[in-house]
Amino acid sequence: MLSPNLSNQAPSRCADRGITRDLPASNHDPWKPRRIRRPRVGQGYLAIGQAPWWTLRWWSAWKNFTDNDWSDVDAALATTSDSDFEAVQGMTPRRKPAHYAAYLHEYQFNRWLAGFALTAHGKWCEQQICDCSKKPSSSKCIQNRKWSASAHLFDIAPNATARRARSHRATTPLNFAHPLVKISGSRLHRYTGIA
Amino acid sequence: MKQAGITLDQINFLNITYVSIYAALQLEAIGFASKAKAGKLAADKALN
Repeated sequence: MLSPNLSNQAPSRCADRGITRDLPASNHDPWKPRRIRRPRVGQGYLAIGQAPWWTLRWWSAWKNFTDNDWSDVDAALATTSDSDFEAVQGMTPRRKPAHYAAYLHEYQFNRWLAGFALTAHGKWCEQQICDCSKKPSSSKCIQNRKWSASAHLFDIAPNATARRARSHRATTPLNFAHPLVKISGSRLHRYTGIA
Repeated sequence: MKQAGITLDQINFLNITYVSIYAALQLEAIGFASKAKAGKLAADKALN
């Protein structure tokens, strides 16, 4: 789950943060596998184009993302997985893969986990803001070899957020005068019944 | 749920985050699924 979450959003986030200034924020279409090459780096991969310079640039971005413990990494990870930070108090980027690894270690490879990615991606495809209209199916994923044999996870964007980011400008009204607000974190409040 | 004084049967709506292992952990911790079986809820299309 971590892998598709980060890898499908990383290109957009990297571009947003100026890591690759001359490249547009983009993502791969999981239903056009022949146009895309996806080299795996451990549990992660990046969606990259077939042109050699694209390959080099994205690969470089990924290597920076994983190999260096520079300060912006935490911020980038926080924004790519902000939904978890909102839902799980005390969550940090490095705890996320640790918990995932512990879960797999305790319960062995759990093939049912793929159900989350499939369901979430399918729900996002129903949203008007998402330009990925085709719902995934487990049979289609298997047919297109979109799974990780090691963990039985399907390599699809769980919530298609990178596509949402790409289509964000187009869906913003032209006369929209207010500045866009990016929520990068929030606190978990306990309801006490006192207003 | 103990603090709120409710039981599992009284919950008719639950909003979880799908994008990580925490979806499975939350479902199992709350009691909607047994250990290691949370993903099966999604695979069986029990989650919407």
